[in-house]
Amino acid sequence: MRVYFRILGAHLRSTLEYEADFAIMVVAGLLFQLLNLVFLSAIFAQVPHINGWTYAECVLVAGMYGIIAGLSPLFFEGMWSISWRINKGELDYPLIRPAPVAAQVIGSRIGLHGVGDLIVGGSMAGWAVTQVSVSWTPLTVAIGLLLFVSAAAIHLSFVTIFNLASFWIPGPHPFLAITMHNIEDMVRYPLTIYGQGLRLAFTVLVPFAFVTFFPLVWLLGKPFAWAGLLTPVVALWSVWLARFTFRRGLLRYESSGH
Amino acid sequence: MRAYKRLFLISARNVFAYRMSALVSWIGSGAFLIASFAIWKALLGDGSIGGYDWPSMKAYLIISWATMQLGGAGLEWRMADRILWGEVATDLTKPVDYQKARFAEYLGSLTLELIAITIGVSLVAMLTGGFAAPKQPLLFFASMLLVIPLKFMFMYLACMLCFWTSNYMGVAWAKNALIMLFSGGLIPLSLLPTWLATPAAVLPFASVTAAPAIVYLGQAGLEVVVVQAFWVILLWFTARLLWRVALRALTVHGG
Amino acid sequence: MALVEARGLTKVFRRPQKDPGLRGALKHLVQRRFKDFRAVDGIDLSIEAGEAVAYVGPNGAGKSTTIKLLTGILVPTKGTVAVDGHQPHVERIVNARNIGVLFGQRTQLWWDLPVRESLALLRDMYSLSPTFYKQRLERLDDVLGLGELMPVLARKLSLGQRMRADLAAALLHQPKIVYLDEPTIGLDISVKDRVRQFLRELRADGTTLMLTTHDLGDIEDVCERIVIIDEGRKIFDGPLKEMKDQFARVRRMHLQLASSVPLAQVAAVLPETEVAQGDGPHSVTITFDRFTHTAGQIVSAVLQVTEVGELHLDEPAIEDVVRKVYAGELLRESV
Repeated sequence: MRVYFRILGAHLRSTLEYEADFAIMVVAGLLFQLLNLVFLSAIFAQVPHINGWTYAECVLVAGMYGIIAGLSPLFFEGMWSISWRINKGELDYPLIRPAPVAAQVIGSRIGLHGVGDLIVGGSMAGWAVTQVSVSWTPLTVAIGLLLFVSAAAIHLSFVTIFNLASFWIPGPHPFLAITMHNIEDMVRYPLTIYGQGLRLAFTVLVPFAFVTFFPLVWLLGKPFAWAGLLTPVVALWSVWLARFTFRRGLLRYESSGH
Repeated sequence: MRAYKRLFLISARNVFAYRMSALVSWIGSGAFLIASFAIWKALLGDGSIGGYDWPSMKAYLIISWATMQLGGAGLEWRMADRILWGEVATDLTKPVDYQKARFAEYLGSLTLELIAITIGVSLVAMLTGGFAAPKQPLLFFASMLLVIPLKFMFMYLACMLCFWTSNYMGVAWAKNALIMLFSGGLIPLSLLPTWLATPAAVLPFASVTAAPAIVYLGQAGLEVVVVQAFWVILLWFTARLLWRVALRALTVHGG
Repeated sequence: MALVEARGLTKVFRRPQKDPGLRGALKHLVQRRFKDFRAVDGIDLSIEAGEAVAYVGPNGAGKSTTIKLLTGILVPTKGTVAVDGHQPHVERIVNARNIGVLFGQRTQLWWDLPVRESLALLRDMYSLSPTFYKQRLERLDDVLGLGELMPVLARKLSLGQRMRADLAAALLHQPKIVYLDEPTIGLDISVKDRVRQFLRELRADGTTLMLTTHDLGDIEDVCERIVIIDEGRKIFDGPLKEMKDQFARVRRMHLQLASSVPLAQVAAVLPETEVAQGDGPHSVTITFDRFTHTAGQIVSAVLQVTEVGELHLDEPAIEDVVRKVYAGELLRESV
């Protein structure tokens, strides 16, 4: 952990030196998150709710996804370099240092567009939380936080797992991870709008439903609220799977050249 | 002319080298398309919003998807890298016009995309029970044709910003977000709040998605296509102007 | 027990058999075919503390793969490795504290950070105390001239500067054993000398060294033991001197003579050597055994016949030596 934050901090400083790039990245992140808000505002100007989800509730879904999606470039961007590292033998040095390989890899990059995601996502979620009808008790807050942390862990675990696929699928680009990331974007809307097949796939196959939908279903007291309480269990499973995949992947690591 | 033809052909062949990234971008936009279809189906049901019922919204969404996909083969990244890595200096020594050369390459890279878009549209038509038929087929075709140079102009102008930045990713994202918002790709422009609809009406982005879609649905006619043509010409010469400014910046940088 | 102990070390890579092009790729998806490639094939090796071992062989012989197996980067297909009693790929972190590794072709410095920052990161990773770190930097600064490099971004360093900074990075935590994979590759002569000088000092400090190289100079300057491998198998392991005596006896001298002299006349003053026409009109090439003649003797013999303009001496290239060793090995086997 300490090593990870040290590396990340050092990269943050070096990245901040390119001020123009920093500004553009943050603005780009902001714009993309604002798109979601504009879309929701525009359609809710026409209808009162979608499948029983109100404007504030939909904003909460999109906002929560914005925050979680923003965490990943800020704190996990290095994971996106793993396919390049595997391909070019750039895991050699992390492997000979007395610190976890994952920490060294994950900390090795920082994506500042996450700041934009966090700001807009945070504001959306912050506003929405005051609008939805939830009776806040210390217990709801505690469980809510636990579910949020679990949801973030699920997202980051699957970013990791799909990037680690590069240990098995050769090639210098994380194509599978990018594809899955695009697919995950679908959870910025309440999952009820999708057909049964997709909902099932997002619950059982790849648990993206637990990144936004189920935790909020619990918070908002919608049907299947109990399923939200499974989020921490799914998170544990995801984290375990990511670690297991990492370990198996490293056993397969072939470096480059001979 | 022969040089441009050659660039066109090379680029058409190169598309296959980038088939994996193209595939990824199609799957990604496919996911986006499914999400759009799902949310609009949930919204519209059997009714209509802002003059769009389900069959016409389906047509709108698929046209918007097709125009988004056009020119997505990664050519813009290679164009940007050329500037970022300074290879543009070698391009300058060649006896071809830079802008026209890039346009020829862009046209070459479209071959595979047009096939993919045709497949995608047919697939969606089959799966969702078809769309409303085009109200003005010929005009729609002309409008779609004009989208091709327009998409090029947007990416070309964005790439030129690389003379002033050290990384293209932020620029590309900001550009894509702007196009998304003001082109009608996010939501039909008539549904935007006025404070966004007004700038959308005067910006060039609407010509790239909203224009062919509303021509298809018969909500507008020839005037929209004329506006598209106007933007093509204006942006083409704006790019030339910007190129000259950029070259001055380049010589100042290089010393 | 030796510091490094490898028994029957084997690494097999599976290479997909793919036809070129899209069709090949599709075919491979349906019908996967693989070919095994034995990069390292049953190597036994033990290195005592304080030894300096040169590990050589032709390209693709399995040198880097062996280093990667010994350092725990790769997992052996068969066989065992123990470094100071630890299995590198199992007890990776314990082992990491004992070893320093340099891959000459690649840097371990963080590309976008100043050298100072990279070293500080390593300090934290190895949990070095501030006083130890300071002493160590001073020591490394003395021999490697780090001072001027400290504020420079790694990507802005020249190759020689980068190698110096990388050596510092590999040695910061004062490892017991240092593996160097091509430590002088691409360096110009003066930097090469500096690096070799540094390696000699490292040895004097009692550090165990293992280096792979193509450069005979590295070996002669730094090592006293040489291990030669080819096609993943060990074919020679012994003192450097013994190898040279056995396999690198022949030297070749090229002379530019002042006047045209018949070859026979030169050959007459140089019995037991081979005299041949060189590239130019007045040039000769003399091949001789280093045990029967010194280079000086050859020159003074030729001077009896004519004036000498230019001369230069071919040292046996390591590739040649290895090839000869390999041939010798085959000979011995057939007897």
